[in-house]
Amino acid sequence: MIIFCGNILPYPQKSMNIWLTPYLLYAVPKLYVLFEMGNFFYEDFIICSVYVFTRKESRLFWFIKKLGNISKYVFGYYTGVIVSVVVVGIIRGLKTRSFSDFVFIIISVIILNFLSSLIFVLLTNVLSLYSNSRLSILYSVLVWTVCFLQAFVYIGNIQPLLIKLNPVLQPVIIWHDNYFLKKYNVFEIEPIHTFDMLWSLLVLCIYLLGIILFGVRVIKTIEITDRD
Amino acid sequence: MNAVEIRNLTKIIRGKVILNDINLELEQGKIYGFFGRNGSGKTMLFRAICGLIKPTSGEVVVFGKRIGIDVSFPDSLGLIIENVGLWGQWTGFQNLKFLASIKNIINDNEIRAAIKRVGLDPDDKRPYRKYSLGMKQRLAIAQAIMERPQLIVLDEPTNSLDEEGVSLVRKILLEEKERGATILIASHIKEDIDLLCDYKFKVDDGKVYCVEGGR
Repeated sequence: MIIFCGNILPYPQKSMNIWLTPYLLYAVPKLYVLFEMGNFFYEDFIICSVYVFTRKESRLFWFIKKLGNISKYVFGYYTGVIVSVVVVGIIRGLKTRSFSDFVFIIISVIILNFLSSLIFVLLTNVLSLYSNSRLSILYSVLVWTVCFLQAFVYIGNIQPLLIKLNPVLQPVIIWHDNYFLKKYNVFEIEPIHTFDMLWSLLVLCIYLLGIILFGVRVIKTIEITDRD
Repeated sequence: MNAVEIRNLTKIIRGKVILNDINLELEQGKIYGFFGRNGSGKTMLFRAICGLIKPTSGEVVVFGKRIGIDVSFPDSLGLIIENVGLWGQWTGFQNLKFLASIKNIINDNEIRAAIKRVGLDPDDKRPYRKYSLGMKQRLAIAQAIMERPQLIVLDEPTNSLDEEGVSLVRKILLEEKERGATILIASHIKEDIDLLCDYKFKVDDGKVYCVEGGR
């Protein structure tokens, strides 16, 4: 169960005791990567952008290359974090009941965290082309926080649906309804009906595609000038 | 084929017309001068030609390719835009080497030759931030010509240069014209325009008027 670390949140109830630790464990790594990668586009616009861009093949090629690099770094970050947790777990003597479930859970955690963070990192970077990287990080953190509120604010019957559409809460693996997770549900948290990994992948891919299309539109029309 | 064709180019920013239905045809291998008061639209026109802004309407065609449609930027372009600095912590050579590495069509010796050509020392170890304004301008010219571009677009190229620097830049531009490059210059220094340019255009309130030569 050690690999659930950082991806377990209690399901919001009408009245509940809020333990800060799981929320911090969930939020801090995701916000860290947002702060760290939020100026990835913007840094190309600080100095000498007109001389750099007019030597590039195309605006779109620049965007695709940047997107590729961001994806690589965010994926590497989550792979590093999760693998480190697993290694520490193994060193401390934790055993797996089923190797195939173990691998499947690791892959799910990495992919869901990667996609969820990539959406916000990309959004931050695209917004930075309109304003600047600090403001865009602020906007993204605000959106992220509003989405995250659903993890501990009880809304009522509509809550499961909102969670199922929430890009921030897709990596909460314990709320998923997959059979291989139920076996390991030592926290006895009731999963959300029909909220499974494939659903999360689909939702995150739709958000990501929307932001990529938005980014392409922005980069094709944005004025290239030094922002500093 | 013309070097640059501009068809019904209009740029409106926040309701203000910056470029107003401009039509131009510029032949290859000539020097074109654009003059006009500050804010008349010279720099914006150059930015449109270089693909740095998207026109509100109309199109710019450079060497047969529509900017923003067929290509994002002109294929073979050397550019100076006013007030664009390089990386302060790097030497002149390091700055140009980085820029040259993007296209990767020239080697270190060619970069050195371009720096020498503008009267600077490629082995100068001072970082760019320690350069005088004149030296920065010379280095900007070196970056614009180092890859032997077919189109050279220069916004105020003799700004901050001393008399010797101005003469050197004029000589370089005439050599580039001899090589076959098409050169567009925006300048408020009338002598630059008179001495160098085959065709002169006045830019006023976003309109372009041919005042001497050309079509």
